[in-house]
Amino acid sequence: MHPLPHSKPDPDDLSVWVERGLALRAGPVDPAEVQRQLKHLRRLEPSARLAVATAGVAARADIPVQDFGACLRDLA
Amino acid sequence: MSLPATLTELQRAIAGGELSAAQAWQLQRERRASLDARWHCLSEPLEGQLAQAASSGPLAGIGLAHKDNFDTWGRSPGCGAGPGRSDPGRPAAWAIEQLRQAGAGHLGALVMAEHACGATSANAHFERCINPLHPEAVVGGSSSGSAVAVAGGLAYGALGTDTAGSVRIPAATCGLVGLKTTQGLIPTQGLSPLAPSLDTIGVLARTVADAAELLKPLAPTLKPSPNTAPQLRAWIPGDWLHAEVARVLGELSSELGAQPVDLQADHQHLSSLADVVLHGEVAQLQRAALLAGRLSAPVQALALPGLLMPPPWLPSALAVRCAELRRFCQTHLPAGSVLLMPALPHPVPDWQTVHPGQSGFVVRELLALHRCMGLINYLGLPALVLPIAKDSRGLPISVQLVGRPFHEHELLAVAAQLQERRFGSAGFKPGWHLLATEN
Repeated sequence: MHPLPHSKPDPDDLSVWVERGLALRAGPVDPAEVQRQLKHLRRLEPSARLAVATAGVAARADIPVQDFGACLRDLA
Repeated sequence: MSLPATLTELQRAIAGGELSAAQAWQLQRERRASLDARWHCLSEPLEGQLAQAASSGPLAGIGLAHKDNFDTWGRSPGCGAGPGRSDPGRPAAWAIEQLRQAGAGHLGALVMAEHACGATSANAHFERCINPLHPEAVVGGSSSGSAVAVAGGLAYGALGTDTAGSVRIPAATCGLVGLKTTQGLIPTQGLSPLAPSLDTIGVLARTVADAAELLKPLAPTLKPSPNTAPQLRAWIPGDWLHAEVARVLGELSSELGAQPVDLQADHQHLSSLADVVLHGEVAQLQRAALLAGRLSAPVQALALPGLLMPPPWLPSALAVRCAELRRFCQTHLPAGSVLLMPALPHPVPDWQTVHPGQSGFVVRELLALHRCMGLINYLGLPALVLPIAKDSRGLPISVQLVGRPFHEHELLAVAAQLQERRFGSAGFKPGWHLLATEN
């Protein structure tokens, strides 16, 4: 089992979360360990403000979700 | 009687009467077990009547094999977690059925990273896939068995799926042509989903011409592009490519007179959005199993970040997707152009460097396999990887060609010219068929 490091990650960097996920791959899966890691990670959950800044998009409810298939066809 | 090296050569041999479709199919079935014993790429051979090659059709007598995340006739896929499950009455996935109707046979379901979660062939449920080009070299994932079966002579072509590079990464590690198609070009009906907004079906083949033959029945309405000489643009990031890869791509770009473009800022931005969609959708699909502690380690690795991301990330990333695609095409990929960019930023690594749990494991080497992939899935664009040189160990260095939506034929035309220029029509390894028969 590979416990997660206890240092606080940079919440701006999604790769931190990805690497933490990958680190879990090295050992067998133990449900209790998963719960412990979930609890640990939740405490570190970045704020929505920082998160949105990271993704570089505005988290606005008024952005219409367009039909992506139609968009692809338009650009063919 | 021996089989030729490539799918198109076998088509010609059958059309010319050198051997019948039935004879060709029989020869391929006879060597299936011995090749699998060598390369460890089969999850389960298929034997039913509907899996047999036909005696007529454009792919008559051609043996294919496919990633084990497609439904087949009366069988649910194992998805890399074990063997498939008998499921009487279940139809085959749309793509599998199209290939059957073209006359191809289905030799068997192929090993893959568990539930398509992984950039390598690492999988605790199966023996390690062997890269036919070099026993220490990694086989990329998640369509790992697809790459090994095609490179190792077991199948003339294979379907894979590409959510974050899972066709292109294995193809690039095994010297193959890997074509990720435009999002939605090939229906995903009968495919086990990973992240539905990104999931795409693709093909792995030994040559560009073979890939083109496989695409025909999968995209029957796709019109050939009238533009066989598109304007080439090239992005060669100077600061994070391995020197050998940078040199090869730089020489290719100069040779072709490609116009340099700088995607660095967009690469970072779009890759971040791709990660958000990938992790977010895997988490949505797997939420119940994850919270119950029932997910295997590879799936958990993808789902956990998605579960813990702030909820607005996923809908926001999807909401701006059309605008990002339009902006990208306008800025970097105008009509009539094809973009050249790296496939793998480093030479093909040894498997022990990128398989989690090995003493030599380096997590950043594993992440590097994905680095040039996810943004293309987010944009939904077609992309083709193709070997263009050999590194100091004789392993492939590949380029990635990216086209506008539904311009697969344009990519194939450019790739055919590059392949001819670098290796001739036989592709990276003229002795594919010798790999299959040597002791």
